[in-house]
Amino acid sequence: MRLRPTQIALLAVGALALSLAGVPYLLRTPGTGALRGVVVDARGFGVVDASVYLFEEEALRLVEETRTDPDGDFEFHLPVSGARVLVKAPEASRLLPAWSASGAEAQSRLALVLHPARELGVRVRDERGAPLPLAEVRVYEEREEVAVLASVRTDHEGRARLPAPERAHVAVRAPSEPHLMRWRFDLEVPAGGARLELEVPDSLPLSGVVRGPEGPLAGVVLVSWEEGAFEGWNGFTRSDSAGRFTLARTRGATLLRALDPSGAHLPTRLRLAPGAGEPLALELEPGAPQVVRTTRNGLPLEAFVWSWSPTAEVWSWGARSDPAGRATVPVGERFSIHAEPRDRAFASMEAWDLPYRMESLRLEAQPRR
Amino acid sequence: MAVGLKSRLRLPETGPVRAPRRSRLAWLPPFAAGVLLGWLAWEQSAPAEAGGGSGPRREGALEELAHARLEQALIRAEPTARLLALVPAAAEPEGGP
Repeated sequence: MRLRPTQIALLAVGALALSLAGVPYLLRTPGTGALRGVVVDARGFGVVDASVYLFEEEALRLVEETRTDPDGDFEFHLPVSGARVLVKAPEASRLLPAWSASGAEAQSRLALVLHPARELGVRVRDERGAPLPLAEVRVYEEREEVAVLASVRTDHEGRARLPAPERAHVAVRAPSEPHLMRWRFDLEVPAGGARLELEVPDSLPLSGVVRGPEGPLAGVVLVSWEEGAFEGWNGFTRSDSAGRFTLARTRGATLLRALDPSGAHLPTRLRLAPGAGEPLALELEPGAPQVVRTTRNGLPLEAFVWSWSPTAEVWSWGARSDPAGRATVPVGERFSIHAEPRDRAFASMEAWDLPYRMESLRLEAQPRR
Repeated sequence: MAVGLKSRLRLPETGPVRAPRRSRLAWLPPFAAGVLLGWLAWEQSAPAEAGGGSGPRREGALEELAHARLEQALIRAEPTARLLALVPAAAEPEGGP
């Protein structure tokens, strides 16, 4: 069989395309390791002998553990999809732990920066002023994503000591069911450390079931707040496969919100009068799928997008746009949209009080002033 | 007899005359053009006006949004709390200051 010049050219182009398609794979898995990275401090020096943990996030599974070498480098050998990496420096280094973003395996080489730790002392009491032992205290840090950096339990005097960043969100979770929470948002922790007193009121269970027109809804996020208390966030949960949920509430009036992360249903909110009540039956209405495209100079821009339901006066669960800058949020007949670019160099985008039409909505980002 | 007449009516040089046949794929270009035009129309849907709303309702909604953003970011962080609990040292109780 003789090949014509056109066939030879086509074969050459095919071979070239195939070889180029393999390049990202080779970059992603250099050598024999599945995931490599380096751990540095805020000055850029490698952190030696830090413990590095590889997790499979979806399955909540610790897959592999290693330590950094004298240059701060590390390498994992087991391939994981949906990987998340945690680094903890030796305690004597007084450095904070650090998390990679979700899906760490997509990066060819991870770089994790450990910032200096400050000391936070927390004292937890119940509403009668008695120390609350075995309460879980968490320190959250907000960088690109929010993550829990430290979690310890209070001792018999209701005290705990944790490493904390310069600015942190702090939560305490009651030791007994239904695990009422209390929060301190945007806490500034000076270089010399900070002490914090938190009171956890007595809690009552708040249970119920979430349904849509087709039956029980699983995975709906339910959020409970004590009315009128800025840091009185009682807690959150997700409905199970039968749509059931149990949350914590206090004896005071409670605001309950139900948000569907799948984006298929409109969010709702409910005010519950003080005192315990019957189990709730929440009905979520289906929403129209509104596609929102976020762009800069017409090119895709990744963002978080929320829709506002004016009738229920509640925001939807935030949808993260795909690499093409597209996100879908549920809307009713009229709605508003707020989009927050992941790149903080760009200002947030808004569109208010729009009627629903079966077409996508484009929001063009402007540089942040 | 009939066979002989039929064979004489044929034109052996040119063969039987047939109406020109349309390609089976003739529908493809207009279909592709339709799909492309539809996609372009959907893609180029009107950009929304930035801002536009005003008054206390918008202010109230933006205040709610600040809550919702923080709340949802903290809920999204829940897997890190659970993963941290898998690290043995993280679950140890610590004494206070």
